[in-house]
Amino acid sequence: MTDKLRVRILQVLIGVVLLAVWEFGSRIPGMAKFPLFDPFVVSSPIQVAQALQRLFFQENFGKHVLLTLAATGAALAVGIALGFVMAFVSFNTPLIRRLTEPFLQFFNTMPRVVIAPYLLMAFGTGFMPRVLMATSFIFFLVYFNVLYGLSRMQPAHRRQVRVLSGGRLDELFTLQIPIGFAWMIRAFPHAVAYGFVGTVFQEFVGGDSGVGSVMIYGLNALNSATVMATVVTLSFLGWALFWLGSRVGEAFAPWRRELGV
Amino acid sequence: MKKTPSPKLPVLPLQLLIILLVGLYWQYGLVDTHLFSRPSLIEPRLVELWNGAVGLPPLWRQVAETLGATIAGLAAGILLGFLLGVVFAEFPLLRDASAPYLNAINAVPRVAWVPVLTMVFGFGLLTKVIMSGLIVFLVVFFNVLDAATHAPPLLLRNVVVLGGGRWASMRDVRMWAGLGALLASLPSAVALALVGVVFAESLAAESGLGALMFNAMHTGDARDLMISATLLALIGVVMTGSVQFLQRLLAARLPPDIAGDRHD
Repeated sequence: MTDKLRVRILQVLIGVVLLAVWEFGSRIPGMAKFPLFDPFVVSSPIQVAQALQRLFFQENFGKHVLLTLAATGAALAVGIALGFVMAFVSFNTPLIRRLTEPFLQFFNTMPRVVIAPYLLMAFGTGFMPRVLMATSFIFFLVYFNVLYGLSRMQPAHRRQVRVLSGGRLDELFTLQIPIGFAWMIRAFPHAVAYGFVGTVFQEFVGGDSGVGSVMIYGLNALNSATVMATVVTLSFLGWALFWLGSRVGEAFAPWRRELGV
Repeated sequence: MKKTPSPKLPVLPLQLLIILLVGLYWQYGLVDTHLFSRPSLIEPRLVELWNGAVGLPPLWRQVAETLGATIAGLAAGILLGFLLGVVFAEFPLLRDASAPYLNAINAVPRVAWVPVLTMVFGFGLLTKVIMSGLIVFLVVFFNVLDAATHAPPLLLRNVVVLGGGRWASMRDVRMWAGLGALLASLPSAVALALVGVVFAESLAAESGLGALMFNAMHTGDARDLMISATLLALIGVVMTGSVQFLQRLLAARLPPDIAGDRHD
């Protein structure tokens, strides 16, 4: 038996055991008193499957999924554009860079969740606060990655542009932007993942739509099947988005490998 | 050539000026006081909260509770993540067989664990510690696993040549490779530990800074909101800063041939 086959068999076995414990755990004598095995608390695979079916076919769950993805997408567009441009402004004007550095560092290190209540109070429960929350994650990720990449640019390359009588604009377009773009692409899968988390968090704190709001709705109704169904959905979406982000990264900046980014 | 930034740029006074101007504008300017309050309104409330306003535990106890949960979660997550990371690196079958499940858990947005954990462990301290422990565990585990798996093969072969078993290879090689990765992931682990606690407190926890913040959000109390949000931000920045300091201090003491220079 090859190693690969053995791993596959083990994977399937683990899955079966986990599902079986989840489904039948409460029927093992003495286990029912632990909340971790209580079907009222953790639901069961069959109930979750039924809940998913009900959510998608009767309760318009697809719309919530699309709204969450749309907010993530909008935040990606805004956050990446903003972070990218700001990184170039900072890199090329040392005064602005040094002036803003401690402030940006502070906002980057502070737990971002503290702005959630402000977004809710200022913009309500709609689409906008989610986009802003996710943007706040993406902006800093892109900004610091691109800035770091630019600051590692080789002086020899910059001299080469001068030697070929290129000005600052030539340097920007032939050197800085390709390098910055490669570093942005490197951060892209993480930006997607963080944007998704930011969106879901804001929906969770106070949203009138989106997967996060469905989760809270299920919790308030003490419907553990709904909660677990949203967790499963979110897990799948998070995985799919990260995978997609990585693929995009490989496709869009083929000169990354040359730069060693 | 572009000039390198001269150290004589008057940056620090300008920064202080910016802070001062923002503060003055906050106090006297056109600010939405229902959202941001004003320093003169916050100061008496801060004193009141510190000593314990009606129906609330004193602020210092709330700070202590959030901080305590953060540190407990951090310690548990680091310990478990490091140990399992090293062990999983040594046993490829274990690693490969559990990979899809671990990846699935890692793909769940962290905040989605809050309702599940709250239903299982209730509204108390335990949920907060487990929540932040889980987040820290995932970060540390995957980083340590990656580094310990890719420990220098030459050193691993040396262990075998010298007659060492799995235990020796974990203790003498993989552990040190993992330690370098652990050190590199410490700042994000600390930040996430705090975020985990606040996540858990966001959902009807009884006390703690996060609970104070989200209760203020629901009642629309701008003063409590500003106080708790600022305290949380400061705690996060100070903790991350001190860990980065510790990181620089310790990084120099690790064996560079195994632990490597991982600062990405």
